[in-house]
Amino acid sequence: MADEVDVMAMRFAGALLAASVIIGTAVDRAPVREPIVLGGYRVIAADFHTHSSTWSDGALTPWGLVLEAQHQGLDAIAVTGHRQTQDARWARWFSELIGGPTVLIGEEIPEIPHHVVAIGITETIASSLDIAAQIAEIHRQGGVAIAAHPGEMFWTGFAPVMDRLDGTEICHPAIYQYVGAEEMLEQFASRTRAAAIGSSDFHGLGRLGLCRTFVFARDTSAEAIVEAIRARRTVVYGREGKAYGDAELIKLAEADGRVPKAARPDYSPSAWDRLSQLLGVAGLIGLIAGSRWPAAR
Amino acid sequence: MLARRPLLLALLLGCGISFIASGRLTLRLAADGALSFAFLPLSELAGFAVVYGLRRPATAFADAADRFFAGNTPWLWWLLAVIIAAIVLPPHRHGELGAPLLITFLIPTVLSVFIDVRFFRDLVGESRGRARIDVALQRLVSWPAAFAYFLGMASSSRTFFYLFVEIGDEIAAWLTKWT
Repeated sequence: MADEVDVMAMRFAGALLAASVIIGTAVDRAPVREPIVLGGYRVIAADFHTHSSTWSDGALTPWGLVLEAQHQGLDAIAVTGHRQTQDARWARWFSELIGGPTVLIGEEIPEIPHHVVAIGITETIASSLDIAAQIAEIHRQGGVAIAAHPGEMFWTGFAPVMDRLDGTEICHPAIYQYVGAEEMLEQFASRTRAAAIGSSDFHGLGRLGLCRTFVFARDTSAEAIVEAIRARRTVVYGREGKAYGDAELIKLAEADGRVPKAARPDYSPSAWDRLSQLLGVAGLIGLIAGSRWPAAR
Repeated sequence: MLARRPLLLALLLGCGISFIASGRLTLRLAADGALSFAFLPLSELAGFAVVYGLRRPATAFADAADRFFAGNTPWLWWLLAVIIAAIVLPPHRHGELGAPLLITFLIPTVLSVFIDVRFFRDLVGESRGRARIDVALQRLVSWPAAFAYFLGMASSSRTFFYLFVEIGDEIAAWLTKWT
């Protein structure tokens, strides 16, 4: 009798979870967006710092990142594995297959005391190189070098190459987490001529594209995006809509209004989302409660 | 029988990733999350298989493995708490979960050891000391395998060791904020 009750309870929990999945999947639609063209440039919403679950301590597979980028309204992503580029190649292959966002081959070179994000590269760059050699190699491969979350602890590491950085992360989820992080990133950026970059450094928490870069590129190709970063044609929106980047492009974006709006996606859950969350959590509680350890069996 | 509790773990991981990454439970993200974190049940199974091979209990491997995975129950509750926190907090505040996660990580780590020691004692009628060795052996196989896969190439650099410094800093910053 007790076993029958257990089975019924587990089935009920499973049904709750299934209902949650059905509702969640039904409301999970990629936004339909008209391309934005300003000043003769295509405005591309991009996230240049993302990690996949294939050997790069991320939460989604490379192809999962591509699909999630579509759902978060991104036109381009760089998949930046730690010291490897294989997952970025898989993501690019998949995205080309489904006509998804532009995927740039990237790598995060996480050395001490500096983390460099290389994008638009063709081969993995050895992290054993010193930072000047790393950046020279990135440039030789046709890519751009971005200072990743350059908090104060990384400043000495970047000191020899401040004039050679192509971009610097000015918006990073750390600005919402640590007191003073925003000021640190601003101070670092003020000492370089590098393009303003907004990146989510997505590992699973937060949202892909939580911080994003608006690139004013000639077209949507990886080459055009890299060229635009090199030419500093970027705009980034940070906390409370604070704008960074090329002053003329910021004016253009503000006058148009669509770019600032795209910079702050609406993450507030709908009533259907709330229902799905409630059912899902209730279902999971039921399933865990029904899976007891051996002593209780 | 083998697949029941390992699949439950995979299901929880998939659902968790979906909720945490998007605030929604979708088939797309749950399947992707379950695949992404399949290395966890697989590495646990590998560790258990080593101990099972050494002890050769009377219970069939599939049945024993399923019962062994019941030791994950504290982890499942912990994961559920993480999911609820991620649902409640707005995405830009998810970073605040880092330190509490790292601190509370210890609770299921310790509890699951107690459960697993008891499991190995029941399984082959071992002494407490021998059961502890089995748990340690299982962890010695499964945890490094899981970390090596998850961290990948980063685990072979100096950065890997620096990770522990960063974890310490993260916890210290959080404790300072709340004291």
